[in-house]
Amino acid sequence: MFFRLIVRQARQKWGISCLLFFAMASLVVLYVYLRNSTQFTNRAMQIIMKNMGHNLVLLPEEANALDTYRCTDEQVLFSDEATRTLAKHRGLNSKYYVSTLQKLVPLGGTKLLLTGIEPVKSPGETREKRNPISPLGPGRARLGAEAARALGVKTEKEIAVLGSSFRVEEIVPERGTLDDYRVYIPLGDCQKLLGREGRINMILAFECLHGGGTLSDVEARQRRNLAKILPGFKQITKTDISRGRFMARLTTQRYLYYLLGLVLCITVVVIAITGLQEVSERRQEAGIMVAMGTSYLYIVGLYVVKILLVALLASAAGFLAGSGLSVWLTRPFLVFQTQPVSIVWGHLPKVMLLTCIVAVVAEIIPMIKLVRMDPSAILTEE
Amino acid sequence: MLRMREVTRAYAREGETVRALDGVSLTIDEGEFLVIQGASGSGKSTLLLALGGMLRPTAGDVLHRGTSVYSQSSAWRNRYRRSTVGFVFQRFFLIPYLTVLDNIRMPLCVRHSPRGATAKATALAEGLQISKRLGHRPSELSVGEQQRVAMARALVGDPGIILADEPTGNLDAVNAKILAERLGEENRRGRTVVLVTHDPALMDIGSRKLRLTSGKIEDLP
Repeated sequence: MFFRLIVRQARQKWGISCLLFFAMASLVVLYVYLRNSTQFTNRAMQIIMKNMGHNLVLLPEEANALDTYRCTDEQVLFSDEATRTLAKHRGLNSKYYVSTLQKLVPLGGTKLLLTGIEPVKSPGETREKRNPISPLGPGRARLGAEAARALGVKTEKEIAVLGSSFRVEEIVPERGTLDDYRVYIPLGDCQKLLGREGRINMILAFECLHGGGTLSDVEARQRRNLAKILPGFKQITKTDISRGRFMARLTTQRYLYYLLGLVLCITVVVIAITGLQEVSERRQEAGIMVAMGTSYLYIVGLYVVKILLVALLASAAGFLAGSGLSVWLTRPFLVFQTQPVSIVWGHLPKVMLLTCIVAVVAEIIPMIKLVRMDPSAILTEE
Repeated sequence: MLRMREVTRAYAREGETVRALDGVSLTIDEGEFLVIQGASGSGKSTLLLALGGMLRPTAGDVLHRGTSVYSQSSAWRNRYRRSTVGFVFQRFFLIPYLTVLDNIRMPLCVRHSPRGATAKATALAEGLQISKRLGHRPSELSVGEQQRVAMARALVGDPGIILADEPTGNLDAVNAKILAERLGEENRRGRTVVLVTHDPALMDIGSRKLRLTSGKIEDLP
């Protein structure tokens, strides 16, 4: 009889029931669309910002950074073991390390920056989350735009560097920095050519800016941890990049949370108003049920189970529609590496649970009104 | 036995205290058919609801077989209403989205004893000449039929006490007679009936008559 009461009441008041269902489903659509599209927008934003490159330079304390920037012969050299030590630790905010050895060499009638690079894999790297600098295979080279121009080569052409031959696999677009003059080759090859086996003069790192607090807090935390793991090293932050990434992360996350909070509040208000109206409309029914000796738990159960059933149906329908909408509208333009915008099925149980919780919370006020109604007054109304 | 002991029920209305019941003492024996007459607003419905465990008196007590109804828990009063009391109201209060059959058997279903509920409801509907309407909704019935459904619903749980609040108030003479006869029949089967009415035609169907005036009760000859 319990479920018959719920189903028959919903059928008789089908207009209100449909309205409630569509209102809840629409809000779930909005919620899922926002959550999904913002999650992927956030990811796309991170990829875009990641393309700005590494934002940390790690050097020995005694190194003069100006020598490193100017690439002079006074650059301090240190063991490439330092990069592997860093890469083993999970306690740092930095990751995606690159060991770098650089030297200004005469090439193609001009001076270019021969740069040996070796990205060192950190634990937790995936195809989606990976070092922004990809490794070079043996005998392969990557050229900055000005270097390619000076050497007059295109991709897949051979170049000779200090007597060794390298095939150009990529020409990096113009950046307006020293990088335009670099000739990147594998670190091992560079160390051999320069007679500097096992030595590097710079570590590039990518600092993740999560973990809470302001940008300064993140920076301070990173410096403290670095001092513990790799004493005798200093960290130079490319603040423009860090700040840009930090602000981008903050903006999209806040936008998401505020918007989702707003949607949840509207959902609570819609359900509460519908619930209050329903309690008023069904007051005589509640009154006669009390007169029959029905407990308030049973009567409240009729409302709560009904709203839960509507919430379950609306959340499932809303999830499908909201996810579909986010895929349809944002997939064509959002940047991705390996995962395009897609339906995140793992969110379905969470969305259903959240909708049910919101529905029950929203029913609290109507249920308080229901149990505070005076059935004797209802039954003696003229 | 059902007793009211010095029962007062006061309401605050527009800043004034109105006593719907004013020190009412009353004893209703088991199997008695009590008719209470009174004008509109005299406190008849309040008295009935207080007897049925629906309305806590401001002062005094209601006792059923010596147990104070309002000293017990609300769960106890729920059980009391489910197993002992059957209400019939002037406005029927049928549940609009349920069929006649479901309306009649509902008291049994909500007390988690639905076994035999359909057979019992059908038998009662036959006795009240509404068996052909079992699949209908209340809105498809005449007023008289609706009241008979309400009557069947009150009887389906075999209550020892029937509390009828102006049950003929909305009925024509023919339907009022059918209902009055049915109440008399139920009384002859041993049920206690308390009928409140201002219909003079119903005054003589009971075994005892009382009048309620401004919350005070008096015997009628």
